[in-house]
Amino acid sequence: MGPGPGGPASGVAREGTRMRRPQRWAVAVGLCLLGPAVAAAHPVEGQDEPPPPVPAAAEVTATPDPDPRAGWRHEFSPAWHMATFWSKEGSHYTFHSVSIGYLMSVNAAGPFLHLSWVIPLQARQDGRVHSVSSAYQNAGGVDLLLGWQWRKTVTQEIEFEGGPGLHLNVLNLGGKPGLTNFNALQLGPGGMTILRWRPGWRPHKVGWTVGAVGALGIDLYDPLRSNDLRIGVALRMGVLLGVDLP
Amino acid sequence: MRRTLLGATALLGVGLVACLGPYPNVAEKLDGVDLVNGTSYIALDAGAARILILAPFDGGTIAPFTRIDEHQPRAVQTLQGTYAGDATNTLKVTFSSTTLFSLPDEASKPVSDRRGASRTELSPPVQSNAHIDSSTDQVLDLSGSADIAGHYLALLQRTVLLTGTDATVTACAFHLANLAVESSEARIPGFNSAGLTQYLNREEPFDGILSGTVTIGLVGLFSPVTTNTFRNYADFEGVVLDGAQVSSTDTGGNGSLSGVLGFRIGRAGLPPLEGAVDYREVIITGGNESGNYLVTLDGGTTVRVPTGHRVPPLEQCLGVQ
Repeated sequence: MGPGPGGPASGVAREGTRMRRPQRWAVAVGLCLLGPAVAAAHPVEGQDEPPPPVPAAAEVTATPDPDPRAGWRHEFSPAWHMATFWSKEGSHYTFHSVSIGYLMSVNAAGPFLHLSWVIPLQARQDGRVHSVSSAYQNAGGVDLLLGWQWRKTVTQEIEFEGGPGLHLNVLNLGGKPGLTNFNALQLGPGGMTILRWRPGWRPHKVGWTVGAVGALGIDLYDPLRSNDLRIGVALRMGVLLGVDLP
Repeated sequence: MRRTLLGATALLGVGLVACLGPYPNVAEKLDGVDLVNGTSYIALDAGAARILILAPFDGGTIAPFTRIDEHQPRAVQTLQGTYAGDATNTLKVTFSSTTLFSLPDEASKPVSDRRGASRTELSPPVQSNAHIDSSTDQVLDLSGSADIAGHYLALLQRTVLLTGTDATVTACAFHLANLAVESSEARIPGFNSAGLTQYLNREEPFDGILSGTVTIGLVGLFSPVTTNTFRNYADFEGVVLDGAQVSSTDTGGNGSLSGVLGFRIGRAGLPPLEGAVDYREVIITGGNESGNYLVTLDGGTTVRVPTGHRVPPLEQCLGVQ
């Protein structure tokens, strides 16, 4: 007797040709932030899909290697973050920060999300340099890049990912007693690239990735500041470390 | 961490409903006023008051000055800097303004669109040339630059006209005291706008030009309660404030005022006229006041003084024709 629908052969055919089942927390993040885009890129398994045709034994053995570009990538990324911008009132500001980010992308072509918590360290204005800790307390920010990416394999283990998106940069620096707050909410187009190494070594069936990420945002609008923003550039460069849980 | 989250929440909340005006300077001081201790003069023009405070030269050739313009119902511009005489012509004076405090009239705008009070450093300083047409103990006539010119009267010499506790004197005393209240508001960055959110869960003191402080604090982001606490506060001679003014509104600027603010009106050769204003009958709609101030002079009865344009006008109060 051959295997029936949904039997072991079916499982073999599905593995590798479809993306790995996402972790629950990733689904939550994805559904909340990406919503329809994710759904379009990756139909949830087991929901009203017609069952795949039962492959013959010959077909099982002929199944091509899985696309190494397929699947989810969840990564942690410490990075250097710089936001420099010019105001319509004629000042030039630059904030250097460290950031800790969560990076996520889906499939060979699909949505991506870069969400970073930014910790400003140095603030500059028109040549004057200030340590953030000397003038501000509770300083922090969020850098969000949301868009569409494409993956290319350079080798079986190295892949390149890049794509455009929408960028949001939020800064909130609470002034120390006697000093003003500084805050900004800047929006504009952006883009990112990732170079990722995915070794085949999977201890305890846990795959992992390391790589580097670079992201750029060109911010053109700040609704918080009466659009005093003339133009801003946000640059994030860092490393990434990801896991690929079974 | 909690403060960080509060800050982020505040920022996102404000970002959704309002704008905060242009970017501030990095590490900018909130209070940037210079103390000027000198003779205070007042000039009146169709209800608009211009107050000039001139510090004495004290043997030097340059001294600080402050000029406060207050238009009705509420718009304030305060210039600060120095003034110097001309070595060749003692009737020529040059005023050099280095700081401008501005509280624009934005009554027609929703609170979320208001810029509110702001401070601008004038660089290079703005020069204003004036000519002394006449100068006595009671009168100072300056012509020349529109920034400074006016028919000024020594303030303490005019407040002696306020005697008794009748309704007119009570209203006049309130209008004088309110000049100092409005002058203080121009010096609090973000006042009368969403920019007040920067005082969320903090208290910041601002010095009076002559003496004392006003401290502002805000509690609650979506039902903000703003408290201005005055302690021996004086921006010019003749008015000293002590007490609190509390504003409780929603994010659209709808709510009410409360609190009691005491005031002391100085008078040359007479004891000060003391009283208090109770704000509980003042309604705020869209960030604009309506209703009545309940004003009581010591030994007198409570008088309802309507918000809006001054009645009686300051010209009548101070005997200026």
